[in-house]
Amino acid sequence: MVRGKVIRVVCYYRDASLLEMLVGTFRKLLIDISWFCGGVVDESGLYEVYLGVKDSPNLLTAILDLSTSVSVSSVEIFDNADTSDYTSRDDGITKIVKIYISSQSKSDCYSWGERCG
Amino acid sequence: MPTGAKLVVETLRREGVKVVFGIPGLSNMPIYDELIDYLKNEEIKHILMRHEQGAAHAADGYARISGRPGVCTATSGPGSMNLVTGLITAYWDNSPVIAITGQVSRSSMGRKSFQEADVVGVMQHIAKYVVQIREVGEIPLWIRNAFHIAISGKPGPVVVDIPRDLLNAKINEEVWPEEPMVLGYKPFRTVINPDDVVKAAKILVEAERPLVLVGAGVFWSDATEEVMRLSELLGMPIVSTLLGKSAIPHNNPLYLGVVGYYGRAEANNALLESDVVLVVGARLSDRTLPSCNDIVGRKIIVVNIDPTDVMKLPMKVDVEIYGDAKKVLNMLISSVNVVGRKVGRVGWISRVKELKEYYSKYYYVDDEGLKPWKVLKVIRDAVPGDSIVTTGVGQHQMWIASFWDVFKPRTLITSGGMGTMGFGLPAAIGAKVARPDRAVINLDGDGSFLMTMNNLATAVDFNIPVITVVFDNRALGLVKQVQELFFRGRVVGIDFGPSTDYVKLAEGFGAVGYDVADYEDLRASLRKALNDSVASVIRVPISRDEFALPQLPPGGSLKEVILYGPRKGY
Repeated sequence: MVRGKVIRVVCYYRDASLLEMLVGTFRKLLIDISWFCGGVVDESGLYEVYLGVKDSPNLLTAILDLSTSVSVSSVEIFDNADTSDYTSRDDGITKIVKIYISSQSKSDCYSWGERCG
Repeated sequence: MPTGAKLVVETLRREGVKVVFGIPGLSNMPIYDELIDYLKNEEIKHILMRHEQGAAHAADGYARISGRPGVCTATSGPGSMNLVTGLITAYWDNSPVIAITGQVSRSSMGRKSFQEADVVGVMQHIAKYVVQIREVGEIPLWIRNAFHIAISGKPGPVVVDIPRDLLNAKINEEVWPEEPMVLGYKPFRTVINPDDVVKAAKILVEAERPLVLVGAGVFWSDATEEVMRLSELLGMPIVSTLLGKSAIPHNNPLYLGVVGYYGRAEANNALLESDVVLVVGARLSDRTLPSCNDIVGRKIIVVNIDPTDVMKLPMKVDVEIYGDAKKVLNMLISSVNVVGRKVGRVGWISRVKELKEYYSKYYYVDDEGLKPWKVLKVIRDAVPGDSIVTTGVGQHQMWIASFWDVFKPRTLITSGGMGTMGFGLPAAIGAKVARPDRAVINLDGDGSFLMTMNNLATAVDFNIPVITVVFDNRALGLVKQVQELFFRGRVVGIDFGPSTDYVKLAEGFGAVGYDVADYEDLRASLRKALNDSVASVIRVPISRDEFALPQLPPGGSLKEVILYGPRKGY
């Protein structure tokens, strides 16, 4: 079981540069991303991304920067969120499923300079 | 049936664009082809720069002086990549620049095609936003959106990258959007809690030694009058960031100068001695406040359009008010009037005057050779009070930070956040295009000028009579200074040698060159350059041994201000 912070980003997809921008916001502040998943939510392009990030002194800066990036609607931070990897073998293929265990521990949410949610 | 290129140009016209700075090439050529009619009708002007970096700086200079977005264009590959330095300069200083870049055709992408470059990948972290057009019909909306994003909230550059096949594609019916529509973009709101304003007013009224620190936000929101009224009302001295310097007329007796790394010693000391600091439109960068410990322990009130600037500060802020500086300051002034004023702050005001007088003896030393502070004084006296000054980056910029007197708001533009050498001349060209009625003077260093001086040809060809004054010390003077002060005097890699003749260089471009030997020469050259109204270059020899002081040691405290160089005898 890996314990870390989970970031939920609600954003709008125009092209794949959205994901580059999102990941790059952490990369350029030297923050490692343990895992990443997300997808389109509706036809308007609403997109939801979850990232598992390691704690860093730069994390708040990255989150604030992300929350004021064009295309990003809000960024939520979950403290003490737990994730587990479940491994199964099926037809000789190893599948790893990452489970995010919701612990209702949302600590903050930012949207264009405002605390939200 | 209009083409994509026609949609580009017509949308620019509808956005009120009067001038485009750029260089044509294969991938943005369809835009130029459509531009011809607009040039003939004199609806839009095109200024052909000599390097795309210059185009971005010119658009930036235009934006900072006019308050409206500046537009530049470049072709794909090297053209767009050359914009990078100019765009990040605009981004760091929150200047609204729109860059329209041509891209290779969609069918050519990914093959290392001729002049193919991943504009979105390269630029998305050096601009406020980058969008690549996917369909011809969306061009008007996204150019409209680009203007909205660039100018709203905290301004910044926006890049619109358009594949060439879409510029050539035709569309049956164009749709002109009435409103911009950008999902996931919310310009910062001005939502002021009246209780916060009253709290701030009470703190300011009760303060013994209040100080206002002015940043570029005051410049962008045109809040100069409000800052000065509040300062006068409260008997509150004013200091500024480098970019905020342009917001405050320096003949205001309460203005002490730029604070920070290359700040005036009296401004730094006033900040250290204050008990309340009102920060307006400044993000307190590492350049303004190298050590946050310097202002811990006093009450801090922050007015900023961007709350995240405050959230990032590693210090306690007593009152945060988020919104447009002009609106907030007007409310604060009303609130101070209601709360009531403390009569006079005679002790505090006389203390800051004392600081000003005390440090003058370190600044205004007049021995052999042309002294930078005196050169600036001669220039200041010779040019109209509303002249616009641009700068490069280097020692001369620091001399200007300390010794140039701004008389009118929005008359000094410089690369503050990025510190981009070469900014001065192209920014001056943009500024002059924005305000042809004003004298525009680029105060530059030799190292900085040489980085973009090729744009002198643009100034001559388009009859844009900017005056460049080159502080020529035949060296990268600021690097030399840092090596002397902080690298044990091990000076390396900074010498230019005697090769460049600035008079011939100017004449080679068709400009007028002046070589001055003394202050009277300088006065005469400036008079002539202003009267002749042609692009000109005035070379002012400065000793290699001059230092740009005061300054702080790298990462140092405001308490550690260095007032004189190692070679001075006093």
